Amino acid sequence: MSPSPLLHVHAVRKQFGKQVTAAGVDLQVANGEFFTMLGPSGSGKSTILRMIAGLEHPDSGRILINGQDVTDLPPWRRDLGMVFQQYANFPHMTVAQNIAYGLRRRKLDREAVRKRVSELLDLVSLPGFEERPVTRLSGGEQQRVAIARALAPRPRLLLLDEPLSALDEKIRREMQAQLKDIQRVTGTAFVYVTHDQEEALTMSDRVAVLNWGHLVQVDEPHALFRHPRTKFVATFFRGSNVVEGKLVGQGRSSIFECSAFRVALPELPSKFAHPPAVAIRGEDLRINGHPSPEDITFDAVLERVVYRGVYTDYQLRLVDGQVVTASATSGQNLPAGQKVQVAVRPEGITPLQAEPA
Amino acid sequence: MSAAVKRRDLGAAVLLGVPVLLCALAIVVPLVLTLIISFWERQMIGMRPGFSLASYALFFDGARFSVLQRSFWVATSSTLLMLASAYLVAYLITFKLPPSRTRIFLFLLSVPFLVNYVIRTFSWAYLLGRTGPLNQFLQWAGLTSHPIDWLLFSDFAVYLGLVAAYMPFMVYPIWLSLSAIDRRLIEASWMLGEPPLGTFLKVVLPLSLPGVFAAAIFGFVGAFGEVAVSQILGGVGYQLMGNAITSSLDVLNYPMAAAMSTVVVGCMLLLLLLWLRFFDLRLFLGKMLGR
Ligand SMILES: Nc1ncnc2c1ncn2[C@@H]1O[C@H](COP(=O)(O)OP(=O)(O)OP(=O)(O)O)[C@@H](O)[C@H]1O
Ligand SMILES: [Mg+2]
Repeated sequence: MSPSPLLHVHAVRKQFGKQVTAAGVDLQVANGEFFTMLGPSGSGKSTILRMIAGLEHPDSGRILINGQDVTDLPPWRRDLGMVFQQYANFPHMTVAQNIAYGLRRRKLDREAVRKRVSELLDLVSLPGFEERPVTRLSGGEQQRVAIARALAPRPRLLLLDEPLSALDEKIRREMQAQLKDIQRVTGTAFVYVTHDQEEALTMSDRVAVLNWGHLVQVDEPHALFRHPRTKFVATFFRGSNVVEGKLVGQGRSSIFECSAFRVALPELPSKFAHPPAVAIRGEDLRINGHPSPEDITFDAVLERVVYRGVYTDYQLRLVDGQVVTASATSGQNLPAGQKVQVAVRPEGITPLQAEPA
Repeated sequence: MSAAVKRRDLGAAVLLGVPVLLCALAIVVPLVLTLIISFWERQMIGMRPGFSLASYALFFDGARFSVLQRSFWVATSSTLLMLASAYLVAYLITFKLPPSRTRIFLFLLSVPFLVNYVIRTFSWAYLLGRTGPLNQFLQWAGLTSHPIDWLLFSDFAVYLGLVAAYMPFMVYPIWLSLSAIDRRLIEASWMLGEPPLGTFLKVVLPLSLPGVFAAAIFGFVGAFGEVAVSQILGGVGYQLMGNAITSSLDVLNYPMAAAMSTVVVGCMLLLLLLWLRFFDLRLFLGKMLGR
């Protein structure tokens, strides 16, 4: 028998009135893993996280931690850490008192507490901040205090609900890197909630994409990015194109056909999207290049050129009117309105499945 | 631009200055008069200007001083009682009531105040009397064979009257500071392993203290200066400071009444000064809560 995973969410359902916020969610998180739940607003990310925390009770399904069923355990008995979007530091306490809050029940002596607090302040790069009133700190500093506070009692798992979304762009980038470092240094498993695709891709070991309470796809970032499984996932990541067409022939390798091209799909998903569709990343579409023999090529009209700095987006209209966007490093000087030749390698074409119902 | 700013400042000064001046006239002038008269000398009828500590001397070693002590004790203990019950009510409204019901409940709390205060107090006297509905009910229910005397004209009646008169006022400030507490602070505390009781003591209670102090002032000031409740529900011999002052006025001993009033006002001022120290804390907490 394989050892039980650190966290096992099993067939968890939760409904608020008619709104289904978790529709039979299954997920497992391993020790030391950085696991991210990514999804648009209202997709149920916070609700699932709060059920793991014990702040909400699932309507059905179980939650196991280290093989122990904690579904009916209150939050204060679960040994988990949580970081909230709006910090939620205790305003009537200093930084040190905040961080020591979860240590009080550990019956440590004062010296041990002091040592642990300064250890954590070093970890979140706020050395010497012990006696500061927590309300006088900047947003980034407050969030780092909140992270230190949650990590102080050495939780089995750290839950983070959009911890960086209240911070401005520059601080957010810095904090992303720092959070990742903290996760690596402490070896604590993180379950991280965000609606920012870039954040999810840069920080995580695995990402779960959520929509309407369903886990649509759980994968490593590059797999998710390169090979989205459904139309929802494909369109969620900026720069992906969805091309609709039809399936020709049956059997193990079917042929996908649209007005512009046909491609043999090596392996078919069990439930193909309806209407049949494939995803192609914008970077995989090469305009007027030198196609190699195995490349799939087709003609399109270059409708619009959008300069984006490092990259330039080229809007291409296919024969049947579908529009795809190719992106390439800026520099290629192509006037709009022209007919161009587009090439793509077959591996760059990902068949899409039907959305989970 | 600076001229405009100056004009605006002037406008603000007038706008603020007039009410402040009116308040000062209405409050400070009588207080100063009281203070002055407290040093005057009493004559058979009326009084004579002068500077005499006679009234104070008489007050501090006479029976009236024990009335002050008693008032202090009654006000303090009833305030604690009212705080406990007001806190409970405010807590339940904040945390146990669905938000849609909050307004209606807070409104219900203010309904008794639609009835005149003296009439309300008299109706308590009726309810608690020897032949009143409460005693009748207790006898009917077989809980007692003869009417219970201590229901009226007793400490019990006075405390009940004070609670009924001032406790509802005290719910509001406590509710205000409780409802300003971010629920995520409570959840954060749970997540750090602190069960609900510990969370209440370490997070909710400290953060609600500003409201508790405000409520305590409401209750204490009310109870300390109370006249009607002690007179109507306490019975003939029951004297609090307010009653002692009125009885001095009844015998036209104005300097004595003024001296007692001055002492009472002095006590209140002292308390308010103490509270102001907490008031700073309140501002401080308010900022910390982002309000
Ligand atoms: N306590 C609740 N009562 C009623 N409905 C709720 C409650 N909590 C969440 N919901 C509903 O469940 C849905 C999912 O909410 P949830 O907060 O889990 O989404 P989310 O993915 O975290 O969104 P966001 O990115 O906006 O935080 C929403 O439609 C929300 O209105
Ligand atoms: Mg959320």
